[in-house]
Amino acid sequence: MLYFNLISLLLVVCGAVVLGLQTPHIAESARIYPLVLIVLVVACSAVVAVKEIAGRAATEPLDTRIAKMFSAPLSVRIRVAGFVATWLVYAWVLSEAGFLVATTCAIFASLWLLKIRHALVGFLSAAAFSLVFSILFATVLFIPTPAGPLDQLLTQAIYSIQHKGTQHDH
Amino acid sequence: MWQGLLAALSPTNLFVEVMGVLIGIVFGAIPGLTATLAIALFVPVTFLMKADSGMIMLGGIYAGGIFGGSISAILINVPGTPASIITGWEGYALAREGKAPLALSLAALSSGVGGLLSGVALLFLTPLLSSLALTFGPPEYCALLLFSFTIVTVMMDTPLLRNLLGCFIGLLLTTIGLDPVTGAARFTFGSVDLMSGFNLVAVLVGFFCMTEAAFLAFEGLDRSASDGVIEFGRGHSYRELARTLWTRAATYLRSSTIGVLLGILPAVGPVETPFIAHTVERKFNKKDEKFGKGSVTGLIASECSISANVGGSLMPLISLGIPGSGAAAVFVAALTLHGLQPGPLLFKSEPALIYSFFWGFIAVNLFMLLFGVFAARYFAVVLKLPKRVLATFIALFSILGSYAINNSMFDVGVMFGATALALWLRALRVPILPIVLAVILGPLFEQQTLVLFTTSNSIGDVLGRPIADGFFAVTLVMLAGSVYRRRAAPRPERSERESKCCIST
Repeated sequence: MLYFNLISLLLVVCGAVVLGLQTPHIAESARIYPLVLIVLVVACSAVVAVKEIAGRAATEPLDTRIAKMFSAPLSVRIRVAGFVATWLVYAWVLSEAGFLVATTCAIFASLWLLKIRHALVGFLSAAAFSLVFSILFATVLFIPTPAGPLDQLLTQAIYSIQHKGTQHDH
Repeated sequence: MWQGLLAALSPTNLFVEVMGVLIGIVFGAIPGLTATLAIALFVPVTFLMKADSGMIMLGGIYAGGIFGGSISAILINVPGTPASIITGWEGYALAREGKAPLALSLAALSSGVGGLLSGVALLFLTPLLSSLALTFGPPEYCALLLFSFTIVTVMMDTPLLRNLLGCFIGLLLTTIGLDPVTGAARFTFGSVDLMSGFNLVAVLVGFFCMTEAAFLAFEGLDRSASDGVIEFGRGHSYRELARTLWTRAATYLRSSTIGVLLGILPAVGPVETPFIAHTVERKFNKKDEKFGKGSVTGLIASECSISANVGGSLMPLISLGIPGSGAAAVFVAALTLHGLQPGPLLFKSEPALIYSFFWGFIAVNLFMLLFGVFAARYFAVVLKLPKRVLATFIALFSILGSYAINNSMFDVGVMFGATALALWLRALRVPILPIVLAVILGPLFEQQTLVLFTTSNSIGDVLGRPIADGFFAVTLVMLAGSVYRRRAAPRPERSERESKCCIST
């Protein structure tokens, strides 16, 4: 644990130093405040590191919830990593695939990785949820979402229904 | 004034009051979607209404959005809005004890009481309190912010140096982007996205929501956990709830007053207020061992101050034309859209509209209170969902919420970065709370510090300000007291304290 703490503190110092190396490129009046903070971060990290080495700092290994996660069986850890990866990939492909497709796939993949009992029900629920929220975002909440080919078709359908309604009123 | 009351109770306005509250609650409950965003989205909708109805609806969205944020914070430890972070600590701990319905109703009651008191202040004290806001200059702001940083840093049980390190890391993060005074780019590495720094909402969603999703995903798979479902909790008696109104009357009053007073200060919005109200209340409740870990008093302090802040932030807006928060700034746009100019003349030119809005704001808070106390506990059925399902949807809404801020994938990246940082720092036992506070208050602190140094000729300029002196004095006393207490504590106690992890923070 000592090594993890020391390496982490070293990384904090490195990060601060990298920022510190940037300060000469900043206008003089704007660099003083961040420079003071960089010095404080480095000094604080150094003192904590020294206390760690001297054995005077905390000896408890990790945050309880993180520690529990690390001590779980490998299969569980792989599934949690898969869960995180699913949502990272979702964020990556959302703009390209569009909200409907990407969200359906991501919800299904996530539920499947977290051991949902019925895969088909999971997939259908994911598709229904994506569709309902896509319509809600477009018509009630006015929240823009990335549009793929399917989303564009849905938008056209919503527009034509609304347009027909308006024409009918006239 | 009484005409305004009748206007606020007209069927149309009653309808928009209820709709505003419901829309606000929905937006507030979804992580990443803030009250400010909801107001901004619905400003064009109000253009189709009469000015007073439109303003009342926006007031309802604002108040509902602020309360809605606490629903997800209490149920799944995911603050719907950044203002609900403290509510999450207290409320989620209560929910874990099987008291989710009580926590939700209590949040609604405190939120409603805070809102109602701020509504009364809006009606009777707007001109008086707004003039107080003008006495706050850079020395007062700096003193108040230093006081907040110090309180959080010294009051936490985790080692002082680690708290300080967290605080400095948070402050350093806020320096990325354009300098607030000169506009010079700092640490942007040529990236245009970094020019405006890291978006606060994206960072907070990363700190709290995505990390919680990962933990819930794990707990959903973990066989040692009960059955993957959080305890729903039993109902509670309304008498028990109402009793808090007199057993904790001082907390309600103190927190509401703090909320209103901080609300009238420009740039101190609902996000910052609960931190200060909660810490002040901690000083008054030293014997409450559950403070920060499921304390009823803590929950009341947080919710009361947030809602009171909403009313407070509208005071300088209406009487001086100065918005007291981001959401209040959007109100300026709404008023302008309706051809109205906020400021001292508004009281003279449109008194009926103003009083109709004030009474409408009170009605909105009453609806929110009733809805929250009698209906919000049904939201607690969320806890009946398996953790794996909760984890999936929290992750989804964290990403969508971050994306919706600026329709930018960059903010989603920031959110993931903040998640990684939060997990790493938790492992390093650097508490998250000082970082969060620094990220929230950092830009204001830097701006006011720079203005203070630029405009002050000598130390006498600062020492001649009684409000600032008061804050500085209290800060110094607290700092000295904390250092002395930590030094005086026997070694085993110190070790025990230093080995505490930052579970709740």
